Amino acid sequence: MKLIVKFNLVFIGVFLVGLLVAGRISYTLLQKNAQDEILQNARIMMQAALAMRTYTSKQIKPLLETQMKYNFLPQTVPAYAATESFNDLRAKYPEYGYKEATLNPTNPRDRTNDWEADIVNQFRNGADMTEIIGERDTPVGRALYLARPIQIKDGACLECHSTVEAAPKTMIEKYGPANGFGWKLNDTIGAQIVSVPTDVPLQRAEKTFKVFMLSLTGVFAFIFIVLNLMLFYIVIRPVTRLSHLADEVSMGNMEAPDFAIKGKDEIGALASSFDRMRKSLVKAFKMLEE
Amino acid sequence: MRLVSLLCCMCAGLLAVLANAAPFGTVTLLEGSGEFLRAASRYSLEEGVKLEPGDVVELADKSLAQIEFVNGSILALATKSRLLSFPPAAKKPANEFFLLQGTLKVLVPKSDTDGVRFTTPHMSVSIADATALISTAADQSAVFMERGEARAKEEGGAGTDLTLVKNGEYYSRAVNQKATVTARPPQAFIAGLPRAFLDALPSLASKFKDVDAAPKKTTDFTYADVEAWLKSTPAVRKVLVPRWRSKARDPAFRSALAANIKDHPEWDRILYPEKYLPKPKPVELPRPY
Repeated sequence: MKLIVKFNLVFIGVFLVGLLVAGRISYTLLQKNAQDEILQNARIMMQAALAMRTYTSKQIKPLLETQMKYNFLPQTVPAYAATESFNDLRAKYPEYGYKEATLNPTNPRDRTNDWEADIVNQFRNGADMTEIIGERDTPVGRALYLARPIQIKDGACLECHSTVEAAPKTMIEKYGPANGFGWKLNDTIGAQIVSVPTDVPLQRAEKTFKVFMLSLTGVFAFIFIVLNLMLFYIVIRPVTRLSHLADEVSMGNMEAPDFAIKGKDEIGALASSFDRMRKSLVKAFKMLEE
Repeated sequence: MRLVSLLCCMCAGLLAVLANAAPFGTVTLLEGSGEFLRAASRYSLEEGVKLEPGDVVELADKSLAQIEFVNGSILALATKSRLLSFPPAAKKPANEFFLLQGTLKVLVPKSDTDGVRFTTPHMSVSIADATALISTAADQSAVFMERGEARAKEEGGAGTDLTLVKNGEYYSRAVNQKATVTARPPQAFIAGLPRAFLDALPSLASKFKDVDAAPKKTTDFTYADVEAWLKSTPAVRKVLVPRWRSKARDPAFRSALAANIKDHPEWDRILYPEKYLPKPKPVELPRPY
């Protein structure tokens, strides 16, 4: 088996093993990063919703208190503000979702559906639960959801949600007396649920993995070609020429041309040694003839 | 002798008018334009102008003004509003007003112990430590209590009972009908309010603490300009006659007054004083013995 074949077999073997190991590690890392990114996105969205709620209740509501005596302005309701903000966001990113799912809401659009009600009930049954994370299929693809309980910790909430009599007249005028009452302090009345698509980050991770593996293969291929060329020009070709020269000298052709390689590397040293050996051999033959 | 007594009466009337001329408030905000009538002159409404009892404030279309009283109350007038401040009794600041037309919002703080009273052609309402919106048109007047309570009464009709209008309630009275109170104002009322009236009235008085803008006279008013005032309720007409009596010397104004004298009979005495001169006592002839 030729030297170049041996070399290439070893090289390809090392390349394949390296590619497999690198692929496995990078795939795992990219998938994990994608999952972390999805969860991080969900947490940022949840935090943004909480910030919007706080901003609304602390800064917007006091400004509109007088106007609320004329018309009920849902813009003063933290849940409405957060939902509306995300509705704007959804105009550009429809696969993202945010809902303040409530079992008995004032605004009917906040009413829980089946799977949301399950989450709310999990929170109601497990007092210590602060977060539920899961995945589900949606019409726009698979999505991760992050849910946190909505608990009545501020007595001010009960102004609008305890009894019809205590609620602002303008609110009754807008939403009627049927829904959103009977809430009690410390009750878990719903859940904030953020939905983040998993497809996009995972597809991005897949794409990154493919690009990485193709790049790695490209680099290996380049190295393979360069090493083969170097092996051929630096080792195989001079050794082959030296071998032919040695064959001619061994068959008595003392007039064969000198080996032309100059250099201080091992091949150059071998050529010099061979040249010296040939000269010694020529001298020895001449002495025998005399 | 009769001429002297007439002059004395006129001087006394003028002194009575001037006795209560201390400003009751300052215009602290004006969007658009407006004017006010003081005595027989018309002035343009400007920010910083001090208003006096007896002044008639009139806002132009698409205008809004805010007047802050010396006792802390804040009054905002909406577009095309026409308001008269009644001269107060004694030396108190003016706190009684007549809203002939338009919409106003008033904030009376707790510190203003006298409160404020507004009369319209159809009702009157007394407000203390409260915020209210009052609107009046030709056929109806209404008050909505944004904060606090008020006592309202029908005007120009048989009903004289005071009605307590509670926080959030709406009291309205249409012409020739009984007043009604509802728990909420109708949407049409709310929709007709200037947007600024839906917010709390901000106090801007500190900006005008040291400002006393001199009123700028504009053109004289004609009979047509003030016809609605001249034909208003007797209480209003009683306030305006001494202020505008000099207008009777204007031939056009005088002839218009004369032509409509049945709508404002108190001007008869101004137009035809000779009719009201004391009749000469009949000379008693010595009885024949």
